[in-house]
Amino acid sequence: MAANRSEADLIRAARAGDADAFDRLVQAHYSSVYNIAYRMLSTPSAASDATQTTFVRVFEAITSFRGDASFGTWLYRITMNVCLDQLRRRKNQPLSLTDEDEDGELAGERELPDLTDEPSGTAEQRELQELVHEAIGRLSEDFRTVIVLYDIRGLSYQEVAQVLAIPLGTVKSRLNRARLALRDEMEPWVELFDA
Amino acid sequence: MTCEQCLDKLTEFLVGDLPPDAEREVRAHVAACPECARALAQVRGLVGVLHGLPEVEPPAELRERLRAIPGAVGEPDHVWWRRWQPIAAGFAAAAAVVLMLSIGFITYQRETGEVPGALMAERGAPADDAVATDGEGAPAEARTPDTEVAAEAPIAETAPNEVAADEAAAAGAQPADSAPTPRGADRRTGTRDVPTASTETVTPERPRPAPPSGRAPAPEEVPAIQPPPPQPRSDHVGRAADADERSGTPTIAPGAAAPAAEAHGVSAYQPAEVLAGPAGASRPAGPAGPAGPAGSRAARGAMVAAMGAAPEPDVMKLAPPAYLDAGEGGSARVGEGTPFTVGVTPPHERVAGTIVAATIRLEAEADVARARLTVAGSEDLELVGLGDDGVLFEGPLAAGQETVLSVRMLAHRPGTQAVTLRIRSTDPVVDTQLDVGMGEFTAPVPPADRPVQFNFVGTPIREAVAEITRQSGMRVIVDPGVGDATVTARADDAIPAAAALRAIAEAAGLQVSQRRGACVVEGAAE
Repeated sequence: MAANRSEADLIRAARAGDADAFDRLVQAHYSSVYNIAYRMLSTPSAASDATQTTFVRVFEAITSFRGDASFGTWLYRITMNVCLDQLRRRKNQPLSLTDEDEDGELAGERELPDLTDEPSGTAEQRELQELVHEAIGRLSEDFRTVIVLYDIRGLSYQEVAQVLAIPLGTVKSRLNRARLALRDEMEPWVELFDA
Repeated sequence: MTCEQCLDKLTEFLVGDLPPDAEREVRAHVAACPECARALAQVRGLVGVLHGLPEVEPPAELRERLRAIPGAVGEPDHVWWRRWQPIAAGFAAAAAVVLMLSIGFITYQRETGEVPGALMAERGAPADDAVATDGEGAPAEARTPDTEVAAEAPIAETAPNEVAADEAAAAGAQPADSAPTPRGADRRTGTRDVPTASTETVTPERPRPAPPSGRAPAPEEVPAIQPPPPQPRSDHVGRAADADERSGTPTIAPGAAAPAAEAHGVSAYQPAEVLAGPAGASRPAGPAGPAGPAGSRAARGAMVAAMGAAPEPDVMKLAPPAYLDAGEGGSARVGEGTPFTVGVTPPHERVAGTIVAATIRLEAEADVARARLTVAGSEDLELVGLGDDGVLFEGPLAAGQETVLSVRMLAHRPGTQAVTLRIRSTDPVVDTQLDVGMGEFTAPVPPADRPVQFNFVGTPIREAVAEITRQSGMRVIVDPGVGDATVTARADDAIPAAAALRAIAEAAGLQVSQRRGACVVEGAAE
């Protein structure tokens, strides 16, 4: 996540209003942001919206980015805030048609891999991953954030602490509780994890 | 060690982050406790799955949406500030000189007892805040861009105040020391964009459009304030007006503007003169045009009644809010004394979840030394690229010259959306408001409902499904068990992708089923 020199140059140029530099920053980071948002919000369309909102906010505030933290930390923090905003907004809204998948209607919003050419073993693995993805979506916001940042995005304890602005010890304890909570969410299939 | 203590340490145990003693305790407990041993194995397996979750490919159209941000949002915050900073510094120096002269003048007057006429007139007019204050009663212009960013930063409840402070700090609103500095972090000493204390009291102008011909926007001409009112101004009125600005809902306070309007020779309630739409090259004169909803009219009627009962006059011409349904384009004439014509072309594509732009054309019938147009959205309609003060335009207007502006918006849900425009000027003094309906925003069409066409003749089912997913964006799993099934089917008229998928599956002797929400093409059940 540390900003290399070329990224620092891009940030400086973007701060000065260089749209091309900003676009290169977007190019470098949008996939990470999208993946965080996807794991936080569960659906591709919500992840796309959150990614867009994140970069709008970044664009609007880029001139205020001082570099005290790495650009990635700053970016992920904004991403997390956007995602949490969406989750709270979602709580106050009726279910979207695109989220409906319980009544037999086709759910076109699901991001599922095409397993056409994959052996069945891989297909089972993908199904397990899909189950985990759904279970993450049932976790509390606190737990979801640490799971997504540490276990899925691979940030270090220190980086998670920076992004969430919480003490290192809190990250560790929260991560432990989050993993146990996820295990509970996976209760019907938890035997699959017995190694 | 209890089971609870053991479970508390599972993650640290797995990471190898425990002190040797604690690690030995966990190891011993797990060896003796089947439940905790099982929990450890399950968490270890779960973590393995988490680490193996694949990267998800962002949709191609997202890249295009992101590429459009700089053009759609405009220039980043504060860039305008830095461009105008030298000028603002000049204003600061000028303001300091004026302040010193004023103090000297007042001291002179106190010592000599002489009260120049001009100074007496000023005493009656303390309120220049028709333009100069924001909703909080603080000088709007004194709010630094950094303050705006800090106020805008959404704060996670899960990481409460620390995140708030830290994001604000990262955005430049906090001292550098307030940002967490983890071990090994690269803490560079970047240049802060926070204006210095001396400039915070200055009014940095936003970039203005080219000055109208024949009227140079001399800086010293801008802050012109109207002569004092015949009666002292009631503070209630200012707060009522500010409340209007914040909420977009008329807040009636005793002593509001109707008597003032009458004092200026206008009736208590004059709805905006709505001109015929759609807005375009010509605007035919006349009152015909779309009208506001009946409910709005009733509310305005109640407001008029309240204003009519108001006892105190006021210098501000706070006109009742008018309504313009710009769903199909149109314009309205608002304001009293110095009317403005506001033309609005709503976004062409109105889809919730997508940033779209509306065009606003502003024209004054007389020269206006300094006007400010602010725009406010709603909980469901976010305005993109505007500061917290919602200022869309600020500057002089020449009589009959149209200023074209663009406002970008993001509807968070489908339905009818509206914005509130407020036009204020100091010379002449006008304060008027216009609610503008932007029309109906539709929900984005989910991939399953997107129209597709096809003509398959002996096409392998996987290819047929791929074609449907290509056209619609649907994600579909084809069960490996379908083998070499082929399909012959055609749809000359576009049909929803989900229906198309069912149709080609049936034509191939297959079926579409749901598996935990996933859409799967598989062999028909026996």
